[in-house]
Amino acid sequence: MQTTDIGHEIRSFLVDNFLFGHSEKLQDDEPLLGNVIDSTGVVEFVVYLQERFAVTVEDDEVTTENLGSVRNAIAFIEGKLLHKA
Amino acid sequence: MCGIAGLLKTDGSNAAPDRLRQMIAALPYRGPDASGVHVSGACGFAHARLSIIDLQSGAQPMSNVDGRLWITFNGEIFNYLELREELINRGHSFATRSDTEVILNAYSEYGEDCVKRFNGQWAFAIWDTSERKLFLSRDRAGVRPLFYTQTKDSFLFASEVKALMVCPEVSREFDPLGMDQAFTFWVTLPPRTVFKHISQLPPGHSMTVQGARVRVQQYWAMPYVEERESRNGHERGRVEELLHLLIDATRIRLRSDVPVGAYLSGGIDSALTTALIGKIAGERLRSFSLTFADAEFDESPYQLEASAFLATQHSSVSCSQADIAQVFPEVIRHAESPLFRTAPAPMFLLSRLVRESGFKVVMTGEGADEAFGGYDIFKEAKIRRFWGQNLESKWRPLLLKRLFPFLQDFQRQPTANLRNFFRVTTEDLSNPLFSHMRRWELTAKLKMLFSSEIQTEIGQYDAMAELTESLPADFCSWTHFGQGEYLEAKYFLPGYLLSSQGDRMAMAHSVEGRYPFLDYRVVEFGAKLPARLKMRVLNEKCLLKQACDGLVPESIIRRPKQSYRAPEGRCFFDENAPDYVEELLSPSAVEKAGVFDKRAVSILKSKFADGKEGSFKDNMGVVAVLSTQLLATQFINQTMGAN
Repeated sequence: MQTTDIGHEIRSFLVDNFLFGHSEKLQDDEPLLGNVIDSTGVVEFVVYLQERFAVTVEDDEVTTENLGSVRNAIAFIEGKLLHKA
Repeated sequence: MCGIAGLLKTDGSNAAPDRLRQMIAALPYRGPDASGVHVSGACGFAHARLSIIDLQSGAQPMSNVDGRLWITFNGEIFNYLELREELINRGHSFATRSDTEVILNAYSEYGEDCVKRFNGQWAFAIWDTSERKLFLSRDRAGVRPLFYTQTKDSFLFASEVKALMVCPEVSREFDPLGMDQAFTFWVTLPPRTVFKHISQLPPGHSMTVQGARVRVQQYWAMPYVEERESRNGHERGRVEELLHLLIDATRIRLRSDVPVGAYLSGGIDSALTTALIGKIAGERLRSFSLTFADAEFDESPYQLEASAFLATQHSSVSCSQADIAQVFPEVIRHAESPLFRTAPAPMFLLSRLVRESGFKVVMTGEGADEAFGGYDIFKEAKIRRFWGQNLESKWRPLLLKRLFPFLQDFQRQPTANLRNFFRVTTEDLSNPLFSHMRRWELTAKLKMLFSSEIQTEIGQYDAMAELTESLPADFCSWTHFGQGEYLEAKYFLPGYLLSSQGDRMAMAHSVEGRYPFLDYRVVEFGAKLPARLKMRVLNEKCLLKQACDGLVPESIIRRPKQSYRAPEGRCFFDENAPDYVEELLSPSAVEKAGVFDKRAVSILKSKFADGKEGSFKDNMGVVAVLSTQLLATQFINQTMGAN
């Protein structure tokens, strides 16, 4: 899967699930956790990433470094997919 | 407890009795026992009576003996017997045994400052025929509601907005800034309401209207100044002082010519209130409670244990998701405000049970959590501030797991999630709204649901900045604990708990609530109490728990606090959901009301499709959208009839 596809899918999920369709409110480098995504939403986001990209996200991987922004989340999933390949 | 309405013509004409009759006819449930109208030239009053004190001669509107002053009054002055004696000693005479006449004579004797002598829950208006002055007042805590508006030729007031809206000249529009506030704090900041040009008199305030001049003034403020004490202060003495105050607060609230019942929620506040009633009245008390089929919300084992321990004759009403969905439109008609949770709906069912059981008056435990440190939000703020003092600490944020032991979803979350949600920055620590800011930020995300038209009208308005501006001048010198309590007691308590969940739901079935913990002497005692006597480490209400010793079952004192909650969004999306849900959330209905964006609402709805539960925010969102859509249908897009 291309980086652009991963990015597009993650952005769409976030916009539809947490921003009620307001794509203009999602910036790639703005904080995601606790800002766009509320505490219960993190679980929803992690479940989505696991199911959509067929990866496993451990509890201790739910960090700002991995999921703190759209850009970080894309890089995190890319890394996971690279490991799988 | 009653309903009041009135108007003052400002164009020199006389008030029309028919208009007053229409206004009061909009509030029949607030006073089913009698109604009356009186006009004194430009000023006219209307009253719907729920007879509780002086059943024979307490009819209203009422005048004092010489006919100079007229009053329409909703509420109770619990210390009226003492005031009556004082006024008789000062030469006043009384034609009735009512507390209403005590207000009139107290006003005659002490002027506008008379309200400082009242211990009670009230909203009233007095017309001084000689000075041609209208005086209105609302109790300290905001138990009783009072709304007003001005048109080009009149000043109008009433217990509820719907009584104002029967007047064709009163506008029926949402106020975008009021909506912005509600979608941040769950309440508006008084005097603002969600309706444009309709204001509410803030709790602890009075106002006068004389000619074209309108003056609003505060007569009471919560004294959040912690009393100095030595480290080993006389804690036992404080417990006794508190008990003494609570006993007296309960004693004067038992003054009634009809029987008084009690709510038993299963927590310590209502159990203590019930215990004190039993101790004072010395007879078997009737108690009432809510139960839920869903174990996540149900507290019936504790309710039954408290009832058995206190030897009450207990009745309960079971509330299902279907019940909530079914009564929700009626709940909104009474609440007159967007709601962000369904919890008022079960309270509506509970007051129905009370009324059907033959009771008009019920005593409850509201106010204890605000005055004695009961809420999780105080605990949350304490943990976040402790963490904020050492942001690198790995173990300090682990304390967040101590919050909300009754919320299964919350407890299942990895600590990393909680760290992100409850995050603290150095900047946050100096924010005066620190205790509540994360919650309000979460609610404010629902503003993304607003239509572009409403968002444009809101513009750059910042509700939290307005609230910050309105804080007392010395707020930043208060204890952090006191700051959190103030925000809770000043805004959420009157705007939501005592209104949407309190007065409105009880009065929907002509039931009056009485609250010993809201006796101003108890509130002032709590406000001055050192924080360590309220929450010791993370043990909430520790002084109050000591006061419960021997009066309340040990298991109830020791149980973890459980907030009163009810099923939320899922009530409206199961296969048996009432038709109005689909209708009101349809793109055409959303577009017609104009408050929300139809695509955003459609996305929100999809979060509950196929039995999905939705997040905390989604649940809040769906209750908020549905309640606002109901408000639009019932108040904005409809001509308000007398019924």
